[in-house]
Amino acid sequence: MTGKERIQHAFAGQKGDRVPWVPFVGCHAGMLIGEDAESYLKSADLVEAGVAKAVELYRPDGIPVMFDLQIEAEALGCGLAWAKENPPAVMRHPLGNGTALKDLQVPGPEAGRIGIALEATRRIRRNHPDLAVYGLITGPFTLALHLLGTDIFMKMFDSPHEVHQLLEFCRDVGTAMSSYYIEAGCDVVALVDPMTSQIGPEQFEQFVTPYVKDIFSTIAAEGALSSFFVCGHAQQNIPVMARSGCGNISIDENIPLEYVREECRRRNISFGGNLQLTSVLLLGKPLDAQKNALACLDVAGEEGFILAPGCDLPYSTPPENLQAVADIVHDPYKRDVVRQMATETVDEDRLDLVEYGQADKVVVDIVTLDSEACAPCQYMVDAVKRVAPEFEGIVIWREHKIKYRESLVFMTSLMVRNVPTICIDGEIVFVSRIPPRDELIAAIQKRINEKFRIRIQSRRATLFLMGEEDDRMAALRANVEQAMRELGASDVGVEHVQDEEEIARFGIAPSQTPAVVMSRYQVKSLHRVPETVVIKEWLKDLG
Amino acid sequence: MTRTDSVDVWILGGYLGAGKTTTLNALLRSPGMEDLNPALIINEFGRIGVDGALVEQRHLARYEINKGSLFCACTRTDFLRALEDVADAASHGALLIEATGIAEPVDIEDLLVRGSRPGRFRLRGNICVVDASGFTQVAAFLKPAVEQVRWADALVINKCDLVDAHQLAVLRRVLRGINGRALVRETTHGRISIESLLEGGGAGPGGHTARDGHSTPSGRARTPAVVASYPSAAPPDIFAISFTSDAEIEENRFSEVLRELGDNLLRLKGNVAFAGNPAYLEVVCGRETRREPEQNLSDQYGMPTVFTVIAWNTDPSRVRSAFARCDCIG
Repeated sequence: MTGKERIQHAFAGQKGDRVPWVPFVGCHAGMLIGEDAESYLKSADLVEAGVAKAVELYRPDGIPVMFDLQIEAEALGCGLAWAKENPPAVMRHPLGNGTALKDLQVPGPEAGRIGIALEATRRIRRNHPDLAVYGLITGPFTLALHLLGTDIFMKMFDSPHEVHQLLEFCRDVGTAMSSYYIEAGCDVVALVDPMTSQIGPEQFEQFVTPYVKDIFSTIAAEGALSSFFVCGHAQQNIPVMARSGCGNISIDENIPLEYVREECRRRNISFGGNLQLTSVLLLGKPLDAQKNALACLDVAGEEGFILAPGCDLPYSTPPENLQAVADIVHDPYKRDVVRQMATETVDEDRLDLVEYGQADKVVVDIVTLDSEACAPCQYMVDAVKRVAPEFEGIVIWREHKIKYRESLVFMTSLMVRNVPTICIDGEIVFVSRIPPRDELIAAIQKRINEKFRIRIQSRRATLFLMGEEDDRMAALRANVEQAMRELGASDVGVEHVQDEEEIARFGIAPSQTPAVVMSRYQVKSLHRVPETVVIKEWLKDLG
Repeated sequence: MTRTDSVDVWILGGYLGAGKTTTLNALLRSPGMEDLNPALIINEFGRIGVDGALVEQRHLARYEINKGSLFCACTRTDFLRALEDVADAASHGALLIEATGIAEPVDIEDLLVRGSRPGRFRLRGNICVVDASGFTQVAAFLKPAVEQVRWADALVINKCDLVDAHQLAVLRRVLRGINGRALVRETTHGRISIESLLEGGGAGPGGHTARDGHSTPSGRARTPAVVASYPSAAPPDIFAISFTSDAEIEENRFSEVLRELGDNLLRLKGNVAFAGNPAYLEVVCGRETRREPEQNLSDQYGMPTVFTVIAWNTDPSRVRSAFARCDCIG
């Protein structure tokens, strides 16, 4: 199934082979190719390159051409302020500065930057034939605000007829833009009208519904799919949006996804969203993004849903966060892993494993979902299983299935973030990769060598010389001192024990003297209370 | 100026033209503020004017947000970056944020707490300037206008000279209905002393000794417990309904409806085709004016009677059924 087909299935309310994913990449794609927002949004070449990079990194099913709600406004004479890391902002509103509505014309396909957007659309269509290409148009209410400014809220009461005339014009602009994008190759036209979040459903039905309905009718008549994007606190308007003739509603984190799911299913339209833009995708870590995506997938179900960010991705969104989302979209196994980790233990539950790996034997831990149920886990366990016997009892291995709580605690205590993972003596060594036999052997051998060095360095010993002070004892002491001198073992203690009772405590009879007992000490822990599981490992060495 | 561990934040909201500029400058001039080396986060679009002399004289740091409005768009990176800059500068003890008329105060507070510099900011007060003559009109159409009042710690009712005593009394009731806990001050031409906003708690600039928590202008601490004590029920709605009719409207019956709705009817404006006496009618808190009908309005709707009603503290269905008795359909 191609990405485009997945999107089409979702719009039809059907279940595809998986949930489709559409990262709303706007000026963020500029960041991906090292361009600032202004340069990026003014060049078809850069948009083409940025979208190609986003497609490569994020493996989407659909992609917007541009996410810039000022394209139409600029073509209609609004003054823009450009920024390096944001789409431009409208700073001057022609209808608030002396221009009359009758003097405005619906812009043609080459006006302002519309030509750039359409050229980029044609190239993206050609370069990515299997993806659903989204053309984004400015919704009539938001465009009206661009043209008139916030005076519109007063005029809705003072001069509603003027507001309607303005919205009729904005509808005509939206209809024209939809046709341009469809002709250039877009599969989906998304009407983006964030400013509708500022009004209530009564005003929405009066000032928005009639105009967006016309636009959605045009889109359908021209054979494309339509989506209605809104962001902000717009929950109150979801029911009226669902009745506006669109094929899909896409929302941000300000609206509960379950609410949108119910409203959209009631009207047999698809829905999308609502990955958290700021707190998760921009400021969070890849695992946060995955957990958030998983939560969306779990709430939305598999029918009629398109996973997407709540709105235009911030310019500096870390790409790894979006790649992490793509990972769980494409790989059900990774989804299961995150699902397990979603119940991650809190810090108090973590074990203190600083001393882990101080046993004589080398311990290989394999953190898995479950080797009986997941192929990569099985291959990793098999790899270790085959290699371990070659170390003749020095290497012991264990599988930790994170479906069990204690294994999850162990995993988080070792700071393991992905499964399957191989840890050797508590150190993460192989992450989500089955090591070739030689590599695994080399890694274990390296650890054995390290341990040997550490052992020699950390061991201390005392030689107890047992027996009376006589000639034989004197000869024994001389031999010991010579041996120590020759080996440079200056830190080995020597104690002479003459007391018979003391000698008996070492299990030596008086008749067996002179005798030598060597006692070795190994530092196992300093300044901390080792966990029971760690002490058990030490004790196993004695057996 | 010594480095402070946290930055005191004042949020200043209100619809365009309500009089935020004067209030902002009053805040900047308030005793102790200069010692805190305040920074400003302002919006180029917001048309707010900061007293140039003040800015220059005190070398105020201005962080401008390149957005049509704070938070009308989803991308908040500009604001987050400005917060980071203020926090990292480590030289500001105070921050004044100008929220445009269409900003949701909840979003601003949320980003202060959950942004990339959590713990560096403490909200000292959320002040909302209300235009006495225009608030009930804009509130019916613009949700954030109500939300800004709802979350404010202090309300400055400005332009009181533009309304009569009855209108002001109704406005007070409306505001109290939205937010019964905020300190309310009334003024004209934006004249307000910051001390009057800060009375009762020592939460003004430099007033760190008064409280350790998040003090508000009226001295209350904006702690989770305090927020939890705020009324959770939605305030009485201010809503607008448009009506049309192609019938001639019986004037007596129409007046009866207006009387019946009483103070629930805040405003009415539009063409009403009274039998033999069509008029463009405007009603504000019971005060009625008439002029010649506006033909454009009727042409747009294709109806001789077209008017919009703004009401509050009642059920929309009650308003609809009341006007239905005059053959007006909403």
